[in-house]
Amino acid sequence: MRAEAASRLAAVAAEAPALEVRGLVKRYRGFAAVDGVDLTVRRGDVYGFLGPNGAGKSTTIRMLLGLIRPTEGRIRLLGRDRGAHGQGALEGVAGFVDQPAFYGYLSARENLRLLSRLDDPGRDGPAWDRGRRDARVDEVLGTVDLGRRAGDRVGTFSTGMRQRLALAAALLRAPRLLILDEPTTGLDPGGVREVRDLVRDLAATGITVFLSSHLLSEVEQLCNRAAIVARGRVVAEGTLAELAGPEGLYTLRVGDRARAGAVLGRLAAVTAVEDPGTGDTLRIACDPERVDEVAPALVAAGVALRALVPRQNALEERFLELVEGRAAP
Amino acid sequence: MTGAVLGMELRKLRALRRTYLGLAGAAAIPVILLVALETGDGGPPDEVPFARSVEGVGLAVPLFSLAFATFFLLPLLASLVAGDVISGETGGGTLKTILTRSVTRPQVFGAKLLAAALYTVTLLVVQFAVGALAGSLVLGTGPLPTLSGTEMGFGRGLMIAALAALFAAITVFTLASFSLLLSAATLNTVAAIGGTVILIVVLQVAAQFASLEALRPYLVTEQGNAWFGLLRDPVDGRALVRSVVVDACWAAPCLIGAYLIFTRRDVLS
Repeated sequence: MRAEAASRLAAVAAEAPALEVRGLVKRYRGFAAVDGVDLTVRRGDVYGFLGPNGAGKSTTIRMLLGLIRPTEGRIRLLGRDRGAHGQGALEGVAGFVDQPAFYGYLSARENLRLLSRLDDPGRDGPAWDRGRRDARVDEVLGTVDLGRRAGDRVGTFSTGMRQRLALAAALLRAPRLLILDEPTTGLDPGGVREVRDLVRDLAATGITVFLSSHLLSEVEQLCNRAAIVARGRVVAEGTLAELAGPEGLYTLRVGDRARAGAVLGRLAAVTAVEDPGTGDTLRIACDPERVDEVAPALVAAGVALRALVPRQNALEERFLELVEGRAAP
Repeated sequence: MTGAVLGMELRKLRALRRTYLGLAGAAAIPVILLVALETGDGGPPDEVPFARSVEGVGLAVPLFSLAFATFFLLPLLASLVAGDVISGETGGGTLKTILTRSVTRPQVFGAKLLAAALYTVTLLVVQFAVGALAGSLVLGTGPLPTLSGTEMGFGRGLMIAALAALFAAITVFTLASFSLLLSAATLNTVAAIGGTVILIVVLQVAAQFASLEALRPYLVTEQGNAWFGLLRDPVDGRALVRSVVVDACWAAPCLIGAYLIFTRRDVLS
């Protein structure tokens, strides 16, 4: 009976979202650093946790990893409740928060060997002997391309190398959920690319990745879903396309703004016209399938059309609106 | 898992310079005292036990060093490690690295406590070994006089002196556990070591006041010579037990406090 119940529990856990957060709050002396965050990260997602510095991203990740205690709210990692399972909730989970730290006076290999002994090999894996663990250390050091510097003291490492070492330390745990806090911060362009490639490769092997960033471009390049967080709250959530908002926003430059506005307002394909009141620019919302009706209509009405461009960076504009609290157009 | 964390703590101690600084200090105490005794004109000071009996008695050297160092120097050396095991980890940001593995905070605390205790015992063992060796080589292996006026042979004397060193480790570790508490509470190694020095000085000054006479037997700093009980004939077991109880009354709140702080506090570094 017990074995059956356990296997049923395991089956439920396997179907559960990789990460589920409900009503998460962290208050420091009345100030809410995290103010009611809800998140659902499905298995296989590369999930972006996007927000400006100070939005509460690191505080949230510290709570996910069990480093700080939530004031309120619930966290489930791979189906296991953080509060009920304690450190056991981290089984299958690895990651880092803030600047990853190691013992600078020990070599990279020695740091990882010490850490690997603090890992539970897991119920599924055989009890790992020291030799297998040490072999695994060299394997992950190779994965992050630190094999040749493995014997050097971490104190001599650059920021990028430490970041890669932190990824190696996380991979040692053979995680199914990887939680990364600003993994490319402080890296030079080459380092940024290396870390992003690595994250992409890891995601391709089926690892769920939850990654925080203050860079929209990073989330756009790596993630399929994202939550935008500002002032401790999730202000938008969804796939990147959903976050970018409706398609079909265009900017026009015309000879006569007022007349153009009147002409476009009568077109069925155009659902909204925004007239800033000065200059020669108009903004419209238009069914993308029927945007080719716009130019002939203006020409027929004798309005000069100088440019008709789809709005670029819709996601970026939306991001800025959301995090700066500006009203959406 | 505690074993794995303890292995890690000991590996770190082996790599740190301060570890050897403390051990060198413990080894230097009997050597310096021996040199001072051998070269001084006026002879040893009267008030230090065993100083009078060093003529031809090598074993008096480790005991003399013990009487000299348990009140201040050894607790200070033990604090170099005990005052840093927690704050050093948070200061370097490595605590979060450890706590995101499969180990629980109580396991990490247990390992740090054990590491600090092992280091304290090592300090006492080193001081005893160096003192006994140097003393025997320079002064000889004569019988050790007890505090009751009788004598014991070299073999028994050696064993008793070793036991005395281990017994003194209890009081030294009690003071080091205050360091551990401060390390957990302030997350600052300098504050932890400095605070322990202040505690020792304050208690020693307090012990000088006649009005506080009644408190004296309960001060942790007054337990530093409880091992004298081993050098009486017969051994004064009651004095030894009494001292262990007093030490435990000081150490327990320190260690419980450190544990509660360490296992509950938000890790922000």
